[in-house]
Amino acid sequence: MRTYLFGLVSLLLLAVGCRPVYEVPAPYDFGNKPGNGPFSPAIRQSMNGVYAVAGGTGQFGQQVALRWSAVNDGADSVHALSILTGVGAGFFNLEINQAADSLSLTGFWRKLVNQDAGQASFSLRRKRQGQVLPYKGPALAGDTLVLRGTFDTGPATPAQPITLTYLRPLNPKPFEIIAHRGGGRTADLLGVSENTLAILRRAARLGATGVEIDVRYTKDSVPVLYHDNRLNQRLIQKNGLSGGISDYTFEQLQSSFRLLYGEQIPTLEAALQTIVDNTDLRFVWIDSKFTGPMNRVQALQQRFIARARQRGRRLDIVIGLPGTDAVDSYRALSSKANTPILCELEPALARELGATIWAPRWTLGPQYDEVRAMQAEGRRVFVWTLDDLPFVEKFVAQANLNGILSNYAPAVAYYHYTAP
Amino acid sequence: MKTAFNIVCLLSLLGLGQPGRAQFSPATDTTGGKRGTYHVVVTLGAGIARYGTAIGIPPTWQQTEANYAGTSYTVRAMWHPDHRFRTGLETGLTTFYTYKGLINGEAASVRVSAIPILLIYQMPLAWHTGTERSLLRRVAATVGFGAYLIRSQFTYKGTVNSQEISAGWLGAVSYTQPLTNSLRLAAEVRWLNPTATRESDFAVQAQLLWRVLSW
Repeated sequence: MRTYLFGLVSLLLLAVGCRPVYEVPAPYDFGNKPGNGPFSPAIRQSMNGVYAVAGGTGQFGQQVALRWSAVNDGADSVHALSILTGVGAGFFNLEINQAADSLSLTGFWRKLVNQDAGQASFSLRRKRQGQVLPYKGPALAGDTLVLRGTFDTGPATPAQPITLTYLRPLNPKPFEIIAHRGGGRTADLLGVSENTLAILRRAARLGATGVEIDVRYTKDSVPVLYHDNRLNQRLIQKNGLSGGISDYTFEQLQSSFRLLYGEQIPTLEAALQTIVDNTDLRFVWIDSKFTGPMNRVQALQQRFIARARQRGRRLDIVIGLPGTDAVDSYRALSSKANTPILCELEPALARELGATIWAPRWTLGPQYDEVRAMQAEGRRVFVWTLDDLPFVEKFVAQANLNGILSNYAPAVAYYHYTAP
Repeated sequence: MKTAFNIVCLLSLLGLGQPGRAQFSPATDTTGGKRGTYHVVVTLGAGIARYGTAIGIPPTWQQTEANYAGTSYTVRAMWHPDHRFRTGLETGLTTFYTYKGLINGEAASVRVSAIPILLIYQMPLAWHTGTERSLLRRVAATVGFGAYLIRSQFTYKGTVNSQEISAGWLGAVSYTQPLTNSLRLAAEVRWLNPTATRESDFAVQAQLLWRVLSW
């Protein structure tokens, strides 16, 4: 009897207690201090490029792409160096070590396909005639930039050596690397929630040049960012409430719902303002997940296109039409002037609607003829949502697209920038 | 009728594992072609409940009060065949928790309750003691699997009623005391666990069992 009771209690505890909790604690806190430190704009510019990897090739592959990005707050800019790897959608995020005399960077690395992460640090050197020398300024003719550093896995102080040696510039071909859900999914454990102002500010560090954001209307018709059609514990903190975004007023949402990492559900207005004022992103794909009139979204689109133009920013903001409801909402607009759209449906409809971008799902294949025809008509072609890494490589190399939407922006960026 | 019933019982036994194998030494020999009486038993239960998981009051709320206590009601229909393994369906209503507070000085509240819709398997423990005289023959272990309809009501500048379906299970142990030939009184302790919405609730119920049909 005792055995059976013990077994029953054990089963009960097992069922109650075994809820997996996945976490990838970023082993490094960014100071986010504004300023160049010793990394002048010229030095940063010279560092962008493709580098050969020595040490750590098992973790990061034979070559990587380095690219600087910035988050702007008024006149202040916080610069970060991203190292984009071809293994497991891996990336490094490094910030300027402003306390050091030398050109040094500290941060962390992470792979999006698993829970691998660790700390890393680098210092910039130059190689001349086989000798690695300290580096203080822009490279001279005959110099090769070298980043010498260490990395490790987990919270350990980095000790494994890694050396990156400059090979060539980044692939300059115009191409949009569009990060899904504002930069990355909550499920990818980036430390911030998807579709938030925080992930928008981080998108460029993940290699993105643009973002896709999901827009829904609250009960009182405020456009906000939220992906799922239900409020659920995959995306929000438990509060006992459920239903859809459209069941609640904006004030009810703001007062009683927090996203998984504690953020508020942002308005589309705040998101576009963040993109224009604080980031260097150059493309925004507004995914129309709402039902009903499109005029509020259109008004925000036009307002922030104008604001970006005033600031001298090159920024495309397009409204995505993923289905017939969205197409009907678009058709119902009283004026379609200054309203760039992206059509995810068949090419004929994209032509009929005058879409500037045609964006089929990637599982339909490369569709070479359709892509060529669309591009010949002046349209750009993107595919969504491409996360399969071997296919990312193939599509970047062979499909002659103008952009790819992915949850793994670091992988898309790596394959694009390292393409010969 | 009995053939179909045998198939249902056989499939249920296959899924029950170890307790199911114990049926090969029952008090009534059901393998010889002579079968006992079958019953349909309806159970009505009512009791108190206590919510067992953190409830997550929004951090912006002030002067909050939470109430983890609730009530639990059950309606269950079970087939009691001539052997001990029983199966049936259960529904009811359990209030999980309420909390209230102030948002910018204005009153707000949340109420959460659940309606279980479960497939129930039940086994009296007499098979273990091997004697009908033991009190254990009146003790039954119950498990249920299925869905919970989680209902919530949010009141702040209007009322929003919403609901969500969550997969889940139930574990319970009961003691049943005979009153008449067709009526029994039972006490049951229950653990409800809607897993998708990460809820759990402990309840104690008094139950009335009515043998509504026998053949």
